[in-house]
Amino acid sequence: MISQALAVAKKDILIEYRAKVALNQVIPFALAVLLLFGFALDTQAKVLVEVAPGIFWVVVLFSSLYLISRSMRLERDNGAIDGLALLGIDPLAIFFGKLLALFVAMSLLEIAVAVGILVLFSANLGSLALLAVSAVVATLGICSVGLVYGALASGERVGESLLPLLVLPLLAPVLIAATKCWSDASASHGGIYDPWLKLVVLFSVVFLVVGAVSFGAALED
Amino acid sequence: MSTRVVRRIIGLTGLLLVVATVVMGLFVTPPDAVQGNLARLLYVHPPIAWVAYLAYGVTSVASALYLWRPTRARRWDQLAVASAEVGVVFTGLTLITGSIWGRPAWGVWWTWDARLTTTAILFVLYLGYLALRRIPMSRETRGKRSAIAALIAFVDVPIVHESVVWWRTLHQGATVATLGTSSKIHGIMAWTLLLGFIAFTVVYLWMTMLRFQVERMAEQLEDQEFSNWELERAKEGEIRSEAIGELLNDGTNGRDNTLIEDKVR
Repeated sequence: MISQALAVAKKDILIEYRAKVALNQVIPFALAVLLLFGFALDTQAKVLVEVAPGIFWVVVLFSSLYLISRSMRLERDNGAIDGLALLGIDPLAIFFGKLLALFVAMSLLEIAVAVGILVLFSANLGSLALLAVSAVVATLGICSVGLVYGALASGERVGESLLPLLVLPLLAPVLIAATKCWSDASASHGGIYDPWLKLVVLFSVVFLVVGAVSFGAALED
Repeated sequence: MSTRVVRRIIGLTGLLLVVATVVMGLFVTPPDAVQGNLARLLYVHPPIAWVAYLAYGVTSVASALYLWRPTRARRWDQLAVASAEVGVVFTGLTLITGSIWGRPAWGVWWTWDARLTTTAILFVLYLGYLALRRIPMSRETRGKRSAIAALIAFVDVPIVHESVVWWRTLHQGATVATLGTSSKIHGIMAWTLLLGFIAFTVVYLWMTMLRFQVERMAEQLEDQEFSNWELERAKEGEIRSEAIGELLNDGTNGRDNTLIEDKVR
């Protein structure tokens, strides 16, 4: 199963490497939104530093919708998913393979947005360990939820425009907790035992399990 | 007794109970010592919120029953959508009545308190669920996919609640829990509140039964239309094959194509 999952991940990453959608469309989009936030908040240095963690996660969540719907569209176009099913690949392997590929793309996005925020908003990072762990764990949860809902809403044209409405409210807890993690980290009073990190972990573990269990059923027609 | 009669009786009972709640709440009970007449809104607000949670509970159970193969039946999917729609209406009403109460009591229409925020998220989550059901797909696929969505929403709600409770809390503590000892609420007020709970639960029952029936009939109509269409196609096919058979038998062996086409038409 692991080799199958790795093959699926390799396939997705290769497609992404050749098409460069994340690099050419999604990351520039995220940076444009960062600039817009700067305009909206009137570049008041103090405000920008204060809201930087929240803006980071909001921008990441919104941009992730593009990556998620693209990840599922790859499978629906030309019935590629039927091909995978015919090859006898375990739905669980498809799920974890796609999760891995999506995670890689999301990480690139997050690094770009974080650099953008550091430069444009002059935000400070503080405890790097807490930041990195919370971002990795939160991203796993986001990818998992996104994949399941991508599968649920895919297949029809109208479905894709529905994805944000389905996914964003569900991700509210991870937005709150991951933002608080960064706030604590930048205030330098948060360690790896930050209580908000526990909530991020809880969310991600729950939704990794839910995703693994339901992804196969969501794919079936 | 037919279900229609039962449903009418439940509907009428609900109406009478709601009227009784209104009369009790507005005219019989005394104004609250602290909140004055404002407290009268609390005879409807908590019962409505309870019905919203009840409705989502029913949707979750019905979705689980639909997903589990041994119990999979159309009626669970129909019950899930019926209950979810009623739930969304009541969640909307919870937010509205809460806002109306919040404005004079807290001075603002909205505060970022845990219970308010959870309810708002719940509202959007189930609006998404209903939107998902509107995507054109086969009945079985829709049933399965929306059941998964409903269960995921159900899993998410406690996490949302936990996160916003940590985040901030202002909502006044639950008064209902002390109903038994009745230390916080005056007797008649407690009874009116209880009446409100029963009244709106009966209304929920009636609305869900009605919506369930509508969903059932819509599916029957769809099936009917489909089988009518199939019959028509079959009949057309028969006429065609008869016409072709005639032509083959009259010895021309279909050499005159225009003749065949005319007859087939």
